[in-house]
Amino acid sequence: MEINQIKIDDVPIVSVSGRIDGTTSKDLETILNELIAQNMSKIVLDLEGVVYISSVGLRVLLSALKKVRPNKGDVKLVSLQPFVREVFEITGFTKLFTIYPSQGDALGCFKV
Amino acid sequence: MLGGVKPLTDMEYAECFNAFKSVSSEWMAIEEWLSKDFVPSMGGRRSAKVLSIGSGTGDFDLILMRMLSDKIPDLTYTSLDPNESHNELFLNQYKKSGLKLSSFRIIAEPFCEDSFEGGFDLIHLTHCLYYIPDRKAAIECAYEMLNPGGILLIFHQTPMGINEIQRTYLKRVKGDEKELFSSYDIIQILNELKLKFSFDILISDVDVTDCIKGNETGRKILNFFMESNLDGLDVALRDEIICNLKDISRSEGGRYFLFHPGGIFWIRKDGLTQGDP
Repeated sequence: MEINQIKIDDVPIVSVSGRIDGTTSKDLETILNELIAQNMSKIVLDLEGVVYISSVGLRVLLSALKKVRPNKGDVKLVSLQPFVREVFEITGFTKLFTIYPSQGDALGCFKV
Repeated sequence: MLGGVKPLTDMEYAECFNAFKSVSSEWMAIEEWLSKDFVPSMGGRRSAKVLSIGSGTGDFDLILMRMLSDKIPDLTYTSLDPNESHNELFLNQYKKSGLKLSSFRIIAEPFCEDSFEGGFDLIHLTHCLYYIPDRKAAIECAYEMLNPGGILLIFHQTPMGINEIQRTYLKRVKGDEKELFSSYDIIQILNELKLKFSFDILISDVDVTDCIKGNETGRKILNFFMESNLDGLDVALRDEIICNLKDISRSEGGRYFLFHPGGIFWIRKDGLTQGDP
């Protein structure tokens, strides 16, 4: 798994590629927790390069969402591959997360 | 049931459920959700009539009863569960709790259309739809039994955690998978019934270290996962299940945790009251 971070208008954009599973999800969890600890409650998570996500990986995303929501924050997801989207639909995660086609769309929604 | 594998007796089921409960953080997560998100919205009522379908050992109900009775002076509570061992445990726990509701009764019956006339302000189905043959009819019937403005709460497993293990092994282990039912299926049913709902997922884990170690507690937890007495299960298949369980769990401080989140559905019957969480 590879993780890259940039910031646009003070909103962190975390781009992940590869597999988010029991072995790799800890790295993603650490990065998200660090951002939240820095009071970054609006986060864009670009999953375009993610080919697989396990339930351990889903836990990391849900945990981040639950941490930022009380501060009126959100974790907006970008570009899910078909397999990952299917996992999100089956698990009900599409009812909790908003998914955008591009980073720009996700950022735009934070500005509204 | 397949060779060597037996159904759990009521007593065994109660024991296995208790073993599961002791390693699951779900009850804590539910308690937090009830206290922060749900119970405050029930305030302002002088009275409420509650129906618990599939109350089991009453763990959830006792939490809910305590929270509601702090807010609502006249609370009438009816619990329904066909497992008499569970009902006995529930009644004992209730007696010890010191709770004094306007009325409380446990009925040892499964839920069916003719169970009650209705008129409830709150009905909950907590981890019981696995055991009801016609789930759609049960949800529809429970909804119909609500007063206007009444709330139907459904707590159920998501397709993650135990459901992942069941999807892979339930049929191989016990020959059928009739208990296989998740929040995904409930979403389909609610959409078919055209019922508006709110949905949330609570983070909770099951410490499955005992299953992996293969000790007595682990044996009971695995029985609970597979809804069967696995004492006679083929050793190779048992090892395969445990190996899979280990693979989908996360390791932390030498222990293994299975992410087993709880799905919550909140359905309000059209009425005057508003304020969903």
